[in-house]
Amino acid sequence: MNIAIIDDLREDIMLTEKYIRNYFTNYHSSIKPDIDLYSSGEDFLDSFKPNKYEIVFIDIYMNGITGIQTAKEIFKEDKSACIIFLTTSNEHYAESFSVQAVYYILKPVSKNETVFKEALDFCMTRLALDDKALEIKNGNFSANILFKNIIYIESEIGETFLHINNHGPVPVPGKFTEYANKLKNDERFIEIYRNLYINLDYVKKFKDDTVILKNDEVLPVARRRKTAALNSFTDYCIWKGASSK
Amino acid sequence: MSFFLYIVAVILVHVPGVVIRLVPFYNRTDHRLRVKLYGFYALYILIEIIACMIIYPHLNMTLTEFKLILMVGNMALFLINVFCIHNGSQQLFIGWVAASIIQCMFSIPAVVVDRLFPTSAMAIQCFIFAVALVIEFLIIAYPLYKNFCPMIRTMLRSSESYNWSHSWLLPFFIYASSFAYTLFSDWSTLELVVGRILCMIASILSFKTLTDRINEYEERNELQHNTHLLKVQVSSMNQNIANIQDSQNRIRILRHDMRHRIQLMNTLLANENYEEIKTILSELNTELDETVITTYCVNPVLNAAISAYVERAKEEGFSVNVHISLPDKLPVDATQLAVAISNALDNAIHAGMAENEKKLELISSYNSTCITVIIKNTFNGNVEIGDDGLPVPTKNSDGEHGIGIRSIIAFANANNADFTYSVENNQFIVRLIIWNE
Repeated sequence: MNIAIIDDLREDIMLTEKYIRNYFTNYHSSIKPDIDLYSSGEDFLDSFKPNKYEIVFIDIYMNGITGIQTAKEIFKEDKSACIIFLTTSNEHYAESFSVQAVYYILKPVSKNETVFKEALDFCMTRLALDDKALEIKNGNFSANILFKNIIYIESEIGETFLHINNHGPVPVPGKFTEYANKLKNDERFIEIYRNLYINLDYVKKFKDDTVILKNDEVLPVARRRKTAALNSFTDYCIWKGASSK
Repeated sequence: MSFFLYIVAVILVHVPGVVIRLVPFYNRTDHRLRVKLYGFYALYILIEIIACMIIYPHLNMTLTEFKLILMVGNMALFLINVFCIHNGSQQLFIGWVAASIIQCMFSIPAVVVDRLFPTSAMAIQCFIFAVALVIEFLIIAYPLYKNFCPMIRTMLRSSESYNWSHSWLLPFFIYASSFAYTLFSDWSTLELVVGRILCMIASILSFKTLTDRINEYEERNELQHNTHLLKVQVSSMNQNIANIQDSQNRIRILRHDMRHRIQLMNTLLANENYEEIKTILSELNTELDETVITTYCVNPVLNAAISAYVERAKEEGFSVNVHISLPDKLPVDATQLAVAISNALDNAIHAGMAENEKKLELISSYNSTCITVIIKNTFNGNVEIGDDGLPVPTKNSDGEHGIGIRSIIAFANANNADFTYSVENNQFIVRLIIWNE
């Protein structure tokens, strides 16, 4: 787990690092966080590459470019990183959320331990979405397809097809219901039509009785499932987008 | 055989009447009321059959008597609806218009029987009449459903305050006149059919005129309501400006006092009076905090709308959780979105007011495809859902709840957005999705 802390106050950096290490020791002892420390947004951006960090803690008030500007730069290139703002005042609360921060923690961290834990819990759950996979077995052969790469799964005349990102439809052995049961426990998959589950991350738009996917494929939505589909989609976006203050 | 034909005819002639009176109210009535209605309809038809058997033991019913059965049946079904579904004069108005339609529908099969089977036995005539009536109903049922139901929806959602409670007399007199001059005539004549069709048109037109007036009235109400919301926003913006000015004044005073305090702290430091220094620093911190102005989002129009309703909710004793995440550039007009959110918040406060535990939540998020907004409030009541899929304003409400929802739908329709609402775990939840494309 790669984590970055950007703060121009040495004491605050040390405190945040301590709390991060404590969190992983207490709740995710199997994960060893690799923490990089930066004293300014410029320093961080000089060495930043997309997907380098899973979680980035940023102080809003810093010398040079502000935390909000730094976060905007990160968000431009890496939309999957969880950004957590640290600040002494909630004055910039509104502004900070125009850059998709997942959490906003008031300093000192020692006074907001609960929120700190909540923020990291949320990041861990969100990041775990990337690791979940669907096991496909055929005799001795077995393969794992990451949930995040599955666009949708459907059953046609008794045969199950997995539509995988950049691969198109792949017929898979076994019953549709077995796959469906595994997918429906994941918040991003919903059944929009009989024997058709879609990944909400690939939805571009719900239009009339159809859903348009990001690859411009159009799938039907059963009329009686439309409201539930819109509700699940909204809840998922809200959950994934940001959490409480 | 005659007996059987009479019975089938008596049952069949009531089918259109029952369907016309049940379908428009189907989604507005709960299961218990529907069972009650089915029960009353069945009971009435049963009584009618038994009455026929007692009054006409040899079943030599005359034409006038059969027509009387139709008329009485029409009236009985009307009364059952008025008795079971309590919608006041709206129900009376709808009932009389439906009665006029049914009466007009009777005329066409009557002409068919009159022209094609004038010499057949009375039982056969009645049977053919009943079958022809059902066929006629099947043909016109769908267009009738499409045109009649929206008018019924409009009328039922309107309140009694429009001063039209006496207007039901109009379709009643149209029906009564048609009833009076046809009861003792022959089966039917073309003149009669034309007369009844004209009566039905008059009845439907009176209905249409009234519902158009109601729609107009509602649109005007909605406009007034939204103007009121905008006024609330403007006053909230003025409040924000006042807060900013106040904050600036405080900062100016702080800056002015700062030199004195630094001077004072230097002296205290020299005297090693650390406790006093701590007190001064703590005071300074509190004063700095007082200069902070709470903003919920960057957009000033939306911020004004949200601030106004959050403040109101807090004043009403709600525990409020607001978490707004919006892009710098909105894909919709900020004022329109502010009005839609104001409407939803206004409804939420209105609905949650009566609850013991008052909670209000407003959360928004965005990604590359859309902006999503969720508004939740605690709610333990039942929401009656109309057949247009919208919550039906309660009788004792001032109607504002309905206006708010319609206003949000109008926003969604005009702005490439989707809107849903639901009641989950004692919460009323409104969800809004604004698509980027």
